[in-house]
Amino acid sequence: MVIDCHVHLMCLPGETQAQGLARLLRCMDRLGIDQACVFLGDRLIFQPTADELVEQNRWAASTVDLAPDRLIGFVYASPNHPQISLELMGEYLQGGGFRGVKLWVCQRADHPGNDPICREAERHRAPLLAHAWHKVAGNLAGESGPEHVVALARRHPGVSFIMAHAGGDWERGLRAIREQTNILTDTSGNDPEAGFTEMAVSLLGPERVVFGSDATGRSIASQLAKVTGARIDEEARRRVLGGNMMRMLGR
Amino acid sequence: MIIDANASLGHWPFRHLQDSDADGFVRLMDAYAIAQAWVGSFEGIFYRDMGQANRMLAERAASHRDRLLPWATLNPAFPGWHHDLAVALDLGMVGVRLYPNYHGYELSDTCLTECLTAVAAASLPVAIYQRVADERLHHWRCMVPPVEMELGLEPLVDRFPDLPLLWVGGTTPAVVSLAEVVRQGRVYVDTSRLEGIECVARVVDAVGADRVLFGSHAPFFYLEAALLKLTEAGLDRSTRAALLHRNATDVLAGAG
Repeated sequence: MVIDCHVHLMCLPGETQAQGLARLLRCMDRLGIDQACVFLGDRLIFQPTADELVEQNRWAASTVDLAPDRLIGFVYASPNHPQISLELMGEYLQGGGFRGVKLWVCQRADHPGNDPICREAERHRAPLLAHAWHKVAGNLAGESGPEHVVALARRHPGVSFIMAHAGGDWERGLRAIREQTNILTDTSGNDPEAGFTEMAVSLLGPERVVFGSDATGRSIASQLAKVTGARIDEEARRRVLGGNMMRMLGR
Repeated sequence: MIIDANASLGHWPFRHLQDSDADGFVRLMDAYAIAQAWVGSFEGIFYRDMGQANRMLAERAASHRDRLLPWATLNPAFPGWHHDLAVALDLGMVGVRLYPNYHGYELSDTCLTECLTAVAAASLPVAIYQRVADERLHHWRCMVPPVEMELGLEPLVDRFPDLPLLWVGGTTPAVVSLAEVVRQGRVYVDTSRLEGIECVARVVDAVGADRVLFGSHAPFFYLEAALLKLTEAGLDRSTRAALLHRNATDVLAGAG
């Protein structure tokens, strides 16, 4: 079982929802990806209003409904709108078919608005995926580095976090989360630099690394190759490609 | 048959890279059925003396000359590049790589025009590296912005319309936005830094199948990434053959 834990449903310019989904599914088929965890809506809104948050989650849910055997919905939650985020989590995690939570990047991960979202995620035993991308020339306003995810994870030891992109600067990110054992890393969203997955598996253990691509902005292929092209043993590869995500999703 | 148009040997200063020696890289090529790789040297990016970097590369490639085709690095902004070019020709190098951002000149600088004139006269193809590593991940004491192809490519194409010019490390949106310029001259783009779902297919649609080269940027990148991107693209047999070897063969044949 191969599960891509990090996919945005955003369509390419001019594409309809059905066309964008068809493109995603045919690429998954070509690359042997069984399922994908999907979140956000049809476009990127950096500071969504509460109404936009609702609308984007509905759009994601309607896409999941078109391919429920291939797509796993994650609720798109925002620390700027904790109350509406909690309502969305209640709706989609309880009977709505969604299985996890994606924290939106409008605030750093350790923002207090994320605390009620984390408590709700823990109640639902839903994994929580948080963006982190340390940029050498400076991050965007409100953009997390790995240290912000670590701070949040310390406050919520009962939540299973997935730090996206290994923190961007992966040599920094992997070292930053090493001691915080309720954080896994995904493999998504940076160049397929050789040595990444070997270091992740060596430093964190194979049980704390999950395959993710950050498609459709990234090529699924370039990100998958980080795992399939890495010099790790086959049991570790199996865990990273899907076994760990199966465990996270309670299967 | 697969020809990798973008590979390098030698020492990357910021991280140990597996398979960056000639024997190791050929073993990696064997694992992925790569018949031939065009190799430059990481030393060529960072050394001052290109003569030294090119001699080291030639020595490394010599033991696998049927598999590893060396590309010299020149620095037109540093004294003596004419001599480096002459030595590269004596060493049988098949192309020239340029790193304007690491070597400190612009695409509009006179030194580059002079260099390209000499390289064209020597009938060698030229590869301009827009970026080597994601600039967001550079070492904090060695931050190097990407080459501004958006402004600089068209004047080069106008001036050297028959020179095979490889634009290496271009991103999907950058290449698509300059597709007309690519078609105007003999410009080729490599696949190493194309990103986004079905990126290779989208770039082929934009610039044409005859202008895209399979390039892995190994051993800096996992070699497998370049191959899987072709799988993701779902290319037909003819397009795949063009990217994997036919265009590369044309580059060397057309230059020589």
